[in-house]
Amino acid sequence: MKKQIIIVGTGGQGVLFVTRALVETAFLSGYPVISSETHGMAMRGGSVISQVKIGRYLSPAIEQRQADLLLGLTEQEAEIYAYYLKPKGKQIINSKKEGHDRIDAQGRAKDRGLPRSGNMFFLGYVARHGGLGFGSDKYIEAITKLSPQKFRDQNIAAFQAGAGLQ
Amino acid sequence: MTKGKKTGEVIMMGNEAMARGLLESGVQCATSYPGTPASEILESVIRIKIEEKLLIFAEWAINEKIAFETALAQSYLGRRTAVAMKQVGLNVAADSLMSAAYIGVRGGFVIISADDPGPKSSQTEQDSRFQAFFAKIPVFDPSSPLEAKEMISRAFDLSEKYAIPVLIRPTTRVCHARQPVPLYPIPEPDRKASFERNPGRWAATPGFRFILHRELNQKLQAIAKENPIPKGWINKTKPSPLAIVASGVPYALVHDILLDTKMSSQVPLFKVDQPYPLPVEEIKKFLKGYKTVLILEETFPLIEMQLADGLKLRGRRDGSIPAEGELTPDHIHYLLAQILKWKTQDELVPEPKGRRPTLCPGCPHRSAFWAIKKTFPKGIFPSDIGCYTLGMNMGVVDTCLCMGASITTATGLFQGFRSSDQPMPPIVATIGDSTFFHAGIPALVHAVHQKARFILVILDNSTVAMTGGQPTPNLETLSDGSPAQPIELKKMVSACGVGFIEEVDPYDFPKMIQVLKKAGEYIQQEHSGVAVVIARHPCLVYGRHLKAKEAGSKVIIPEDECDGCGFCVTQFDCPALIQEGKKQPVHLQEELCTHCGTCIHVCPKKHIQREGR
Repeated sequence: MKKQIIIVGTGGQGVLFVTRALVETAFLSGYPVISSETHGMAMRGGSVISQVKIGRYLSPAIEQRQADLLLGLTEQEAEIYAYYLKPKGKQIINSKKEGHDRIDAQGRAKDRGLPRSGNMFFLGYVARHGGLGFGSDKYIEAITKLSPQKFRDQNIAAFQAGAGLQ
Repeated sequence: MTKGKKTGEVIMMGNEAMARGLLESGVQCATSYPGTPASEILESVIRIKIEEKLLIFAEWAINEKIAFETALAQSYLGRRTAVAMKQVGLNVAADSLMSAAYIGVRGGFVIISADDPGPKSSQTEQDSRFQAFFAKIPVFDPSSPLEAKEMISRAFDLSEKYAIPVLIRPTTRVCHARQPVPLYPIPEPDRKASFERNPGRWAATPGFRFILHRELNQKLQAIAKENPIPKGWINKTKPSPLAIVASGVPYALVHDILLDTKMSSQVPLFKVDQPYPLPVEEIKKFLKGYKTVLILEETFPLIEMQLADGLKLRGRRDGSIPAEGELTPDHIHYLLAQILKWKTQDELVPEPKGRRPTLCPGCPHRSAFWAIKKTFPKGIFPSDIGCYTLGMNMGVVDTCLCMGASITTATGLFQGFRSSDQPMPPIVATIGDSTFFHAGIPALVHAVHQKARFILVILDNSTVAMTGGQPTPNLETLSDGSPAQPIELKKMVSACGVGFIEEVDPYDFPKMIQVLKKAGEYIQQEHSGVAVVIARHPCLVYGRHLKAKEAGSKVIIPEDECDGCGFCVTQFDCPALIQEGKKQPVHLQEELCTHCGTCIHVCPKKHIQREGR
C-alpha cells in the first residue's frame, strides 16, 4: 500500500493527536509509515499541518498535488492547503455546513456530551469514509494506547460515534 | 559496542529516537536548554530515566553554554555524555565548542544541534554542520528518526576512538518526524567516574594549544579516511549523465521522488552520512565519470564546497537550489525534470501564508502588554525570544534579536539618545523569566552599572512555555523530583543593583498600570537607573509553582450592546474574541475563552463584562 495523507487545522485543535492515532493505526495494521508534525511557535493558534506517508518511504514530506487524502479540521486551512491534493484525491473536512465531504464532527461530538473529543469523532468518520482500509479495531487499539487515562473512554466513544459504530 | 537483542519496535518522534539512541549507547549524562526543534530530546531522556529508574545525570541547564560545559566535564570523568540544543543555542555554546575540539574528550561526547530550515520556529536558517567545520569536528547528518538513532551510536564510537567531540545535525523534519523505531536494551551504566590530572591537556596554555591543533588536524585526516570508498550507492544503474550526492533530509526527499516516479534504477544516488570531514579525493575519483553531479544538502553548500574543485556540480552555488528556505520535494522534482528532460511538472504553488500564531486565550503576557501599551503609547519596545515575541501582533514588540538582547538593546537605545542629547521616548523592554536567567543577567548588570534608564518588565510565568513547559531556575525541584535551590527573581534583580523593583499580577490591570506609571516616573529622574517590574502570573498551559487565581464569574458580551467597532479584536488579539465580519457584534468563543476577564479593560465602551454585574 502507498498512501499520502495531509492533515490540517489550527494549533490546539488536536491535529497532532489525529496524526499520531493514524500513524499508530497504520503501524498496528502492519504497514511502514512516517509522519511529520508542526511544533513550536506555529502551534500557538497558527495553521498546523501534518503529513503522513504509508509505504516504503524515507521522508514524511508530501509533494504538491500528490496527497491521496486531505483531512481538514478547519474549513479555512483545508482551503489554504488544497494544492497538496491529487486532482482525483479525496478530502474530508470538519465543518458546520455538512455535505458530501463535510461533517460537523465538533458539533456532533458536543451533542453527544463529548465536547473535547471532536477530533476523534472526525477520525471515526475518516475511518469509515476515507478509504484507508484499516480495521476499526486497529484505530481503537491506537486511541486506547495514545489517550491520556482521563480522556480514553470519551475518545473511544467519539471515534465509535464518528465511525457509525453506535 | 554490543547492542543486545531487539526488544520491540515502537513509533517514535525523531527527538525521542535520539534520546533512546543516547541511552542505548550507554550515556551517563545528558544536558540541554530547550529550543524548537530540539526540546523533546532531553525531555525524553528524563522521562525514560524516571520510568526505568536509571542512575544517570539528566538535567536542564540555564543556557546552552552551561549545558555544554557541564556535559563536557563529565566526559573528563570518562563517562559517555551528550548535550542537545537548537542551532542558535550552539552559537551561545560556540566558545566552549571551539576549545573543546582542541582539548578533546575522554568519555564519548556527542553534541546534538538541531537545525530549522524554513525557518519554522527560529531566528536563522544557519547550518550547524558549518559550526562543526569551523570548530574542526566531525558531523553526522541523519535523514530520518531511525537513522538519527543509529548515528548516535556511531558518533559515540568515533568520539572515543579519536578523543574528539562529535556533532549530530538533525533538522526539523527529522526531530519532528515519527516512524517505527526498533528498541534495544539500555545497558547498565558501568563506567566509574574518575579524574586523571593532566593540566597540560585539560588546562592547555597557548603553546600547548598549537600542539593540540596539530593533533586535531591529524585526527580529522584519519576520520575522513574512516570510509575511504564511498558507500551507500542504493542502486546499480546503467551509465547516467547525472549522479546525485545527497545528505540528510534531502536524501530522503530525493529517494521518495525516485520511488514515486519509478526512476530509482535510472539515476545513481550517493548518500553522505558524514558531510565533514569528507574523503574528498576518493569521492572525486568516483564522480569523475558523470557529466553532471547534483548536490542536495541542507542548508548551506558544505559538501558542494568541499567537492567543488575539478567537478561540474549543480546545487546551491550555481543557483539550481534556492539559497534560502527549506528544500522542498517539489523543488527537487522540478529540477530533476529539467535536467533529465522528464515530462514537465505543473508550476509550483508558492507556500501560502497560513494563519498567524497568537498568544493563547487568557495568556498573562497579553494583559501585561496591554497595560504597557496603555501606559506608554509612544514607547519603544525592545523584546526577546519566547511566546511573548507574539506581542508583536499587539504592536508592543519593536525589536527582537536573540536571547537576552532586549535588555542590551534598551541600554544601547538609551545611550544613543542620551549621547546625542536628544529627547527620547520611554523605553520599555520585555523578557521572559527563563530568557532572563539564560542571558539577561550580565545584560542587566551592565545596564545598571552604566546608569541606563529604562523599564524592564520581566514576564514571569515560571516556565519555558514556547517549547513545551520546561522548568526554570525559580522552581523548587529538579526534573527528577529531587530538591532544587529556587532562585528568586526579585532577589536576583536586586543583586544586580536595581533600585526600583515592583512585583505585580498582570491580571490586576489597574495595579499594573499604577506600577508602570510609577516606574515611568522613576526613570525620568536624572540619577535613577533601570526600573524592573516583575509581571508574575502562571502560564495557563504549563504554569508550575505559581498558583492561578480562581476565575471569576463568566465573561459575556451582550449582543445588543456590542456595536461591532472591532477595537478589541484588532488591538487585544485574543483568539477567543470572534468577529464574523465588519460591524458584526463580537462574541466570545465558548471553547476558547478562559474567562480571565482581562479583555474587560479593553472595550472602550465597557460592553465586555462579568455576568451578573
